Amino acid sequence: MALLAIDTATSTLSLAVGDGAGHVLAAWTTRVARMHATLLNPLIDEMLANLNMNLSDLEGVIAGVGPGSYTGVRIGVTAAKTLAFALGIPVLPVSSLTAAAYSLRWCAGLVVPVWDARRGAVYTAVYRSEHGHFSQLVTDSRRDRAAFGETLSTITGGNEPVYLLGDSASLAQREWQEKNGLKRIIVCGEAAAVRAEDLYALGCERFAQGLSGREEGGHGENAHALVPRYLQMAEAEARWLRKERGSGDDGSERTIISPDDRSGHRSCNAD
Amino acid sequence: MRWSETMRARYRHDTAAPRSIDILAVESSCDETAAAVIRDGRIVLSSVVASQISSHQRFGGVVPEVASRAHVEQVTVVIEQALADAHMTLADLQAVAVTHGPGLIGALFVGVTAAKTLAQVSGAPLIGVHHLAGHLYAAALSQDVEPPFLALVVSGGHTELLYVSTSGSIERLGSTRDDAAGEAYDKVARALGLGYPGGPAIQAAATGGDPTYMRFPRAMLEGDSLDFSFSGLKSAVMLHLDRERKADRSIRVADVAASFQSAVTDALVQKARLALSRTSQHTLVLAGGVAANAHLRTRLRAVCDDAGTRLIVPDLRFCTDNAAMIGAAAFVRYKQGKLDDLTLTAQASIPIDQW
Repeated sequence: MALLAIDTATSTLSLAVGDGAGHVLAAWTTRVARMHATLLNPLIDEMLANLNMNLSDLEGVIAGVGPGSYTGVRIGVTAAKTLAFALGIPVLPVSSLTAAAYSLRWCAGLVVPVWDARRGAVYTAVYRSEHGHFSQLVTDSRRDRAAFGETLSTITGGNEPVYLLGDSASLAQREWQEKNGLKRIIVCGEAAAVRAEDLYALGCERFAQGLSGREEGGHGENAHALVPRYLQMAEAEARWLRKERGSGDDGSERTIISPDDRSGHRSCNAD
Repeated sequence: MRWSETMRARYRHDTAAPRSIDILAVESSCDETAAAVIRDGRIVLSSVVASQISSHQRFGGVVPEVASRAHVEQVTVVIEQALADAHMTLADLQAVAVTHGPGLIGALFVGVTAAKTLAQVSGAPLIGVHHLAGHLYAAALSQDVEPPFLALVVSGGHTELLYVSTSGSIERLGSTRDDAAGEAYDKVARALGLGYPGGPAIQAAATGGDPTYMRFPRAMLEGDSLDFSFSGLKSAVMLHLDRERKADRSIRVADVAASFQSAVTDALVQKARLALSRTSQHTLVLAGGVAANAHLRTRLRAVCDDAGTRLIVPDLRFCTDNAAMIGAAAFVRYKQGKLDDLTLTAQASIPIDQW
């Protein structure tokens, strides 16, 4: 059994092929601005050729569905859903933020990706890593960066170390240390980036639990329904809604985690 | 085996002996997600168009981000429907074609990525198609059209006079210097409160209106130029509406719509006539969304009859954006062996003569 993981939500384009047992067979990560659409398909082709595999050997696709760059994430999601549809295999959506945070699953503390979402906002979520045991405390959302320090300090109680990842990490570290008294903040990476190995590690367990299996003749499970998780309405749409409702609703998705959200990617003892 | 080898072998095999060539085409350059299966560039085995008009109507025009999002939701659904309607599977195809520009870049990426992935899975060759070339070959879906011919492409994004040579190469004789004709229709329709899309709305409103009510400007530019300009016309209409409102007079919507439509048509018809006489062509292909406009069709028909020129107008359903026309244009490339590789990407603008 082989699985393909794809993420193009950030300026990193990342691909991984793994077997069904949690082993990565090949992985490829590039960071070339505005080249995702050009490079994605040739790199899949090249990677499989090196593994002496064909697309028809794939039994599932794991797609990073954002949040991130709208245009960027659509490229990977479109490729993933088209692969699933054309091959008749299932596709599993995984949060790009979760995949980024999952790279720190061997730490002990809170893991918080902070990706620039413009106008003082960040795409963020809060996870707890306990040496390989990984859980999500705050679901993916778009938050005001300055205000989120408050939320975070109520979660940590001030003692737990906080590991930040992303292009807003340094900025958030400074703000949250000064304003919210969060002392133990460590910046672990200053780029919004996802490695597909982590995406694969998150997804392969779900496949092992029975998501796998080729559907004869039909399109892939979930292929048509797979869409990016933008976490924001298109600007024109939000503006139109505000006018219609006469309210200050900015159209952001809800931000409180439900048990449903958590089950998708809670604890994984991967690799 | 790499896709490039599989695809080359498939192309050699499929072109070695006479056989029908079935192309799956995808189009996502603006606000329609479309897929079609076309045989030999002219037989429409299926054509599916998922229009987003209702998503954009409330904005009075196409919002790129809204369009891109809708394309992701629709793209595999539309492709599945096109294959099912044609009673085909991916394995039956000789090629996969896609509009790679010009258009809304975010929207184009969706179709291009889907098409590249389909080509990859099916092992079929990939053909990138210029959106305007698609409009040019829309007429081939309902009647015999062989180059050379002259073409007038008029849509929400384009106003072009093109010459298609015997070899299929396309030369641009003239184009708009500002707004496209369809764009002017949309803007004036919005100003008149007629809604979106503007073409059909103005045509309906103009029925019974007096086209001589206002003499709006017809930009002819420097005497012999084949270029167009519609922004002056649009401004003149806005100025008129402004004056009437300030003077507390009620707007004569039907008369304004008819006068505006008449001005657009005059400009298009006169430039077409000039191009015909200059190139001594005997065939004129009218294409693009505005080709659906009855007033323009009637006026051009009269000009062509006078000049002894054959006027070819695509079926109405192939005038607006669709994937069938992309399949028709792709067939020309397929025959010439002009295939693309997996690095094919979307481009917001591609000069037609460089395609």
